[in-house]
Amino acid sequence: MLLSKNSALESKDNEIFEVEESIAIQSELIKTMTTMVNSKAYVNERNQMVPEARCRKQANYHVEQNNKIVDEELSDWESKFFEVDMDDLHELFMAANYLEIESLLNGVTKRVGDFIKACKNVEVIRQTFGINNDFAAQQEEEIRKLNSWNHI
Amino acid sequence: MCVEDRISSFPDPILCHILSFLPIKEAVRTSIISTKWRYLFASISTIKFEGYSMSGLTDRNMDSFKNFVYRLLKSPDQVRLDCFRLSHEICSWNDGDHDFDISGWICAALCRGVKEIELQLSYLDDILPAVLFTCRSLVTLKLDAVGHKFKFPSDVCLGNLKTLHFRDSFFGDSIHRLISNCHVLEDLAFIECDFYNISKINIQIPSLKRLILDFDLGESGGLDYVVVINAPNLVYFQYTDVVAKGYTLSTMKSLEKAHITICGCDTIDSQTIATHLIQGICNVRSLHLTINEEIFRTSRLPIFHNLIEFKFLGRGFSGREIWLMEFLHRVAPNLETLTLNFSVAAGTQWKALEVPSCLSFHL
Repeated sequence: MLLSKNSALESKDNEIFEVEESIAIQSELIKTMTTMVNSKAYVNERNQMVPEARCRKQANYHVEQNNKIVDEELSDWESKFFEVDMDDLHELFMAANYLEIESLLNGVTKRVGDFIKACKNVEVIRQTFGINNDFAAQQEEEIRKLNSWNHI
Repeated sequence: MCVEDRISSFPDPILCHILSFLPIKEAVRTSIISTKWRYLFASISTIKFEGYSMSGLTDRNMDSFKNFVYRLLKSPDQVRLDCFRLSHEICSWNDGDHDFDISGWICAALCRGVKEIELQLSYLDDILPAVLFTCRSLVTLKLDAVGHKFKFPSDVCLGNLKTLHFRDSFFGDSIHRLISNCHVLEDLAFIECDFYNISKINIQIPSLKRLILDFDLGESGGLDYVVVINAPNLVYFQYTDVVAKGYTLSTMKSLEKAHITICGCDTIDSQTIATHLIQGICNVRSLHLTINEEIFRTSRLPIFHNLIEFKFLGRGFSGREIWLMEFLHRVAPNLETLTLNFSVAAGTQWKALEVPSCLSFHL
């Protein structure tokens, strides 16, 4: 039986995280670099773009994900993990996008979808996300006509 | 309090992915948020029309809805569609007055390389286009077709289909043409279905891992067909029917779980036939069986070497279940969990049973 190897990842703020290799390679980016570099511990220079908080969150995410074998436990834990505000979700998204971690990305997008679902109408969506309405009155009217079946 | 607009900086494909999680009404609603959001919904990868999306439709806005669906499905046709789902509420609107072009919608989805189609439709006559059954992109197809009799033409072929579910439909011999041309099929289910005018149900699918044959139990007499299953890699098997004319099953070395319900096993002949089915699943690890327990007295069952869980539903126990002893000692020597469901006649007295010590017993 193979002992799990640990990879050392350095973040932007020069903090080094040791993660089990099987977890580290959940990131497509790291996986590609590992196969190229092939060493037990390496410093990922490009990873210096990722601030410390994000890295720590990812490492936690994967460790916990691997620990939770039972589906119910996992989905409970996942809902709690993503119960953060838009700023944090954005951070998670940037990290998941950069490191190319599909499961994390899916979690973030689902959660943002939940946010949108919870909004009663378009005005509430704009307020929740801080989006500016840049439509001309006529354009808005056009869209409402096309969507008369949807009552927006 | 001023919230910074973080979400608009997400790339468009990610925003489309987010919209795919929403019911279609909510996804379309986002078109009015801002100019950036105006056309995002048009590229969502999942299009689902369920009961909720049909609420609020009236005769007056029906045309606007039909135009919307047409535009949504048709363009942009270079963007791949992952999933297209219609539920039965659509049918209640699809009468002579309104005439939804459901066949056209399905064709449009197929043109966009759709991978998953799920349709709950009644009155399917002429709705399903022939191209549905020659589509190379389909991976999952689920059809719930109240009372529809399927007839498949000779050129059916779904080369990438992994999951095929039918519910509440009738099939003749032409179904075999479809099944034999699904070369990577892993999950096949016939739920509340019936076969007519055939002498053999013939399932020869080496790639199959899950099989459900759940037939209507309306038949009072014996059935006219034999059941032949050659699926050596099956992991899960569910079978519910009146006893057939005969069973031939290939060895299933990987079978984990089986749920078997056979009705009408009242004669020794029918019990012998049912034994052939049970023989075919003798490698299973977990078995839920519902059958006339006479079979244990009249037939010699094979040994279930791998069986660790057995759940049995019988008609009624007399309290002197000698067959159970033989079962525990010879037929299922490695059993760990036994669950018996039964109704007990008043006054039944139980004789003490000698059970192997490692067995956990549930009544």
